[in-house]
Amino acid sequence: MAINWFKYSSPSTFYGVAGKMVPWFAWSAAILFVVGLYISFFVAPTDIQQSEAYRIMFIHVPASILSMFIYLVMAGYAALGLIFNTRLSSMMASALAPTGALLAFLSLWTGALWGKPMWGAWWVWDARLTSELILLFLYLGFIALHASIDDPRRADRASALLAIIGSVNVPIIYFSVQWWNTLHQGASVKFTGTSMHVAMQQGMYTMMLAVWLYAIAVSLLRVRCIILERECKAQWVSELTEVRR
Amino acid sequence: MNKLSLLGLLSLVIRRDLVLAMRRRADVLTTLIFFVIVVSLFPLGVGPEMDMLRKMAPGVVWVAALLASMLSLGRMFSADYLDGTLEQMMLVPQSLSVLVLAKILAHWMVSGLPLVIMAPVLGLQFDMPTQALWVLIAALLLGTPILSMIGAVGAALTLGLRGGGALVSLLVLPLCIPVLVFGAGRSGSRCKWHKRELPLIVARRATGDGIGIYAMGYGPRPAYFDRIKHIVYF
Amino acid sequence: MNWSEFFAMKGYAWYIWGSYGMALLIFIVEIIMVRHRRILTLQQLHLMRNAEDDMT
Repeated sequence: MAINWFKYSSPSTFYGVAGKMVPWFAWSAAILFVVGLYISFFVAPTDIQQSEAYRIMFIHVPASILSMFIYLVMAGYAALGLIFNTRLSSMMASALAPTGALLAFLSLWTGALWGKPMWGAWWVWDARLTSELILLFLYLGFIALHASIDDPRRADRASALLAIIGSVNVPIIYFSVQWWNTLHQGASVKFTGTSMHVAMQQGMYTMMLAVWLYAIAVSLLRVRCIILERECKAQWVSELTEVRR
Repeated sequence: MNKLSLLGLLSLVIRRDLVLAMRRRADVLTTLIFFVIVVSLFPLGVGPEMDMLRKMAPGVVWVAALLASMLSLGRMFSADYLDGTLEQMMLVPQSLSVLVLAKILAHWMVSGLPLVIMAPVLGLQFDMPTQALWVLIAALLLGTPILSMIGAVGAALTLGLRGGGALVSLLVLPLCIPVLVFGAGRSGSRCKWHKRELPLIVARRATGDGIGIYAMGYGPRPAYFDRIKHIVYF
Repeated sequence: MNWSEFFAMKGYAWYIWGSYGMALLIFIVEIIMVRHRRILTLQQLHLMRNAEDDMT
């Protein structure tokens, strides 16, 4: 009970803490990227069915999972901000949104490049693909709504509501599209999961951890900017060394 | 002054909104005409083969209905917001949720119901069989109120913002996808209702209702934000 | 295994390097954008500070 967690929920404290944490996350992400890429390309064997093309998996799967996970985290922060009226949670939510949107885009892009050689099509209207696309739309809606309201407090509240509604909707969308798809054309594009080689698993988990740490690092950097922008009138900001010089 | 019952308030607001809509009939007609034009453009775009048109008819009608309902969303609160009526409505002692529900229902009667009535005529353009037409009407009857409810969230959140019209579509359209999938899917070639879907539609409606009404209670009044009982709803 | 064989990826070069290239591009662009945003924010704060100093 010694740690006063609320101390860290004040932007002025968190600004410094985040600044100290960023290099740790960034460097471990960089190291894990190197290790993960090494395993993905030199250790993991060639797949029997998919030949070398499966190596896209090492970036595709982390990007997809992280894009969904970040949305939930973002909605969680937004809800915290809405309920407890903590400014920092709302700032974290808006700092996470661009990273999540970029990862969702990356997941779609790599998915298309993987789908073309494997399924013979850049895009199929499969449940997973469609929900990922809609997730990207939800991110864009969140960002657009936040950007178009001038008063930051009101922007936080409005986009928090949108994020919460969206997170309720993501599973509904997923199942609705799945049923729609199976009803209409049958599951033609199920990726049959053969047992993965150990090195493939290791490569994927390493890459996932790397992307995760990267996402944390870059959103901490972004939240530092947001804190400075929002708190520009505060005394502590004008006393910062980077502002004074 | 005697206190108004909830139902009384509901019918009062609905009647008021309907009267206002009737005074501005052109707005209602514009949405309807937009719907008709969009649906009629599809055969021109994809060619007049009847088999294909029959197959895509429900989807076309649904997408057009979705777009038409986006078009009318901006009007749900904006006039009342601009002339200050909304602020006065906030002050009534009764529950705000009922008030918002009334506004949603009125909006649906003005912009959703005409689409449902018009849809079978358009279905005939696509040579849909009679049975499929009935399913289409039933699905639209069930679906368009949900569209109004989801749309109300978007309308409330974007109230008084610049670029509100395009923004509200960006926010609301992705959320409407389940309605579109089920609605158009049901009115498609097979006319059975799937057993699994009914509970989902009901659940969807409940969440749409709950969150929607909550959002409304909120969106339109930046100044009164803090007064609202978060906990009651969460 | 020589390098040209490695980069050819058994004919899947476009797909694989397209994926990883886009990933690299996105990460780099995102980092540059965040850095840029920080620089802009700090500039803004400097301007505000200088304006206050001028007034007093």
